[in-house]
Amino acid sequence: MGEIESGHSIGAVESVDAIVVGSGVSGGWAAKELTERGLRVLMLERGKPIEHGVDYVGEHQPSWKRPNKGLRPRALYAEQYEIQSTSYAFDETTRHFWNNDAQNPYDFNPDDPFRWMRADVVGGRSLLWARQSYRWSDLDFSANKRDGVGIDWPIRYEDIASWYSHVERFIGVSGQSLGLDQLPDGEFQKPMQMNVVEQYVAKKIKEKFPDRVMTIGRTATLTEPLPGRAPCHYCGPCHRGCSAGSYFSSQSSTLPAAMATGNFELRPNSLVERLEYDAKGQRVTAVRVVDTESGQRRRYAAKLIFLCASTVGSTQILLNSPGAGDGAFANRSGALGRYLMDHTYRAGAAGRIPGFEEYYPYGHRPNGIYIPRFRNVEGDDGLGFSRGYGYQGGASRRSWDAQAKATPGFGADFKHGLRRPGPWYMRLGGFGEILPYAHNTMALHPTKKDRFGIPQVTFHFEFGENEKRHRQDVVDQAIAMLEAAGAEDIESGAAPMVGGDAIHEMGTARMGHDPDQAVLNAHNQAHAATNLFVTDGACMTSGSCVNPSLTYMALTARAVDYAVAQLRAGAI
Amino acid sequence: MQRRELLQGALILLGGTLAESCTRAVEVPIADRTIKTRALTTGQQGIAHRCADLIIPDTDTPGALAAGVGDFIDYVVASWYQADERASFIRGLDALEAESVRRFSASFTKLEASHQVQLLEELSAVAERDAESSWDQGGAEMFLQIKELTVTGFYTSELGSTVEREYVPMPGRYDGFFKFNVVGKLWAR
Repeated sequence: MGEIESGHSIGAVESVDAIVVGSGVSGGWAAKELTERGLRVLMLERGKPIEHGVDYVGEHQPSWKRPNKGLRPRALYAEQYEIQSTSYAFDETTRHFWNNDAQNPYDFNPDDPFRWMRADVVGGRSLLWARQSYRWSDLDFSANKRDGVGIDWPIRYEDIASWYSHVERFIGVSGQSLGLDQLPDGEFQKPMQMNVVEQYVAKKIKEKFPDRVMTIGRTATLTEPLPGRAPCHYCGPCHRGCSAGSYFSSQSSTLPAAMATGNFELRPNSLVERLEYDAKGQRVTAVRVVDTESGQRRRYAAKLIFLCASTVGSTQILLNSPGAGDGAFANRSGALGRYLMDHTYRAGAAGRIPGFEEYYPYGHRPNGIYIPRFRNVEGDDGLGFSRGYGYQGGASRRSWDAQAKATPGFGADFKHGLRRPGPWYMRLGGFGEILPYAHNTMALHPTKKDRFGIPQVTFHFEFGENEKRHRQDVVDQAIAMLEAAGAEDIESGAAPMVGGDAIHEMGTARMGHDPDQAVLNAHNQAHAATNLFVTDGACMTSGSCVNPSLTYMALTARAVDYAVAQLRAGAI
Repeated sequence: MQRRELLQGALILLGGTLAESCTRAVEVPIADRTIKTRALTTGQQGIAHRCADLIIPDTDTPGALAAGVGDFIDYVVASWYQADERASFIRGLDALEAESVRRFSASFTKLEASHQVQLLEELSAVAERDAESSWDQGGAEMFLQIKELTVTGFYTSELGSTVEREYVPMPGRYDGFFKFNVVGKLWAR
């Protein structure tokens, strides 16, 4: 299958029905849905193979068995993982999942920074994600139209609601139903438990602020079994991989489903360089691939192409795919590479909650609390900013290393003093919506190329007044809620904002009805090419304030349903 | 900024942000990053190990040296510390030894335990309680370094995790109302 660029066949040149580019949350869903509809699918993944279970080398590894005495090799990280090593999930137990920034660089400008966090393995960031799973609402889908910012979404909640259900039932989402319009309930497994202090703080917040609710996070981590997957055993660091399949990843869930159909082939180490385009037929005719091990170039053809290479990855491919005239074939609208979004992050407060000293939770819950958006829900609250934010956080006793640092002295008293857990602290951090701005962009660098000669990505990202204002409110309201809960020694703050920091990058190939304004239509189908669908974060027309992965999965399943129907009807 | 806060900058194993430690690593010339098998003299090593023993001693449970913290210190100082961190550590050990000889006319490792404790307490007071000292000469920075090494090495060791603390690799459930007195120890991670 496929042919080498020089024309030498590498075996039988076989056509497939569909090519899926990328194996993360979106690509995995595209492969599952396409193969289950009987299509023969080839998945191209730039990263190395990772076998479920076998390659989770850091899973359940005790601290005393870690290499380098558990310490981070600082010089190596600085030289080769300058960007990726800034993640909380990056260390020697997970490094093999991440992109090597020296080997696969982008144009990082410290004066205009954008952090592009990337996996470089089969499964992509589905192995590393924080698993929080929230539905969008019509408050989100109608936001651009209401504010006159950006363009209107071509869909509404009713178009995607049944697809959310379809996805949730398969991936397994645990959570609590709340009956809120701004955060629709889903098909939930039983919720994880809020601990004693979280329940207390939730009650105090509700008393003081009747419109605010603190709930347990909705997470794609099982509390009830699903076929081939066990409920969470609460060991803690999910990002090292979970051989029990308790959290959703492509490896635990969608790739086995695709494999089970017999219609699926996966090719790792296959970096997609660009798409070939037939302007007359308005079709993508081939996908050009670099084998990252041999450097050899190949071309593949298929009836359908699903681009699921991540927000930045997919748009990089599109920007590098010329049309008949100047520029990229998919950029008639001029929107390609623009309206890049993320969420505001690293703002909030934490405070000590007196009492509850007899309680010391058992098990390491891979989940925290959530406070759904309460700003500008019924209309404009007159606070000087539009849209809103939600809080994530939790209550825990101060960690042993922080406790040790805070304890002066040494000797037997010091040692025995560290035998009791530290005080309880409640933390609240906001994730806020960033508006779609035309000037927030990713582009191909005019001269810098990667080791295969592919133009590197460069970014320009700035935050607007709306983000600065809501972020101040994030801090102020976190303090107000902690005070309502009787917290003491409250510390608050907002770290300098850096694009990409929340790892919720979205936009750059937005959906919209008008081909002069949008790259994709209401079914994630490219306006310029009937057989091309882009269903990862690149498609997002606005950003909401909730974690976006669940929406990518639902949009992907919906797009596959449409694409296959169109294919069967002869319209593609 | 208080002197104490300045000194807290010496904490790097678990403290400080990653970005800071990365930046520091870049600033150090490659030649200075080469792994040394031995960075301390026998005398300096003896002082460092005795300090670890004083910081987390044997009590009703084994202490730092029984848990292998001596090896941990040797590894970090020789192979993980950057040149400036190593130099600061050695300078502090030498300052402690010099004061030991000046005040008690004997090497630190040969002193009575009460005199060893007295000297370490003076360094702790400078490093952790903003006290002044006439003989510090880098000893306070070293005290914070050795304390961090001892704490980290001890509580991440097998003995520290399984004897001093309770290690439950597969808890199987989450109980946010669990009572501390049921276990009576901290969970190891």
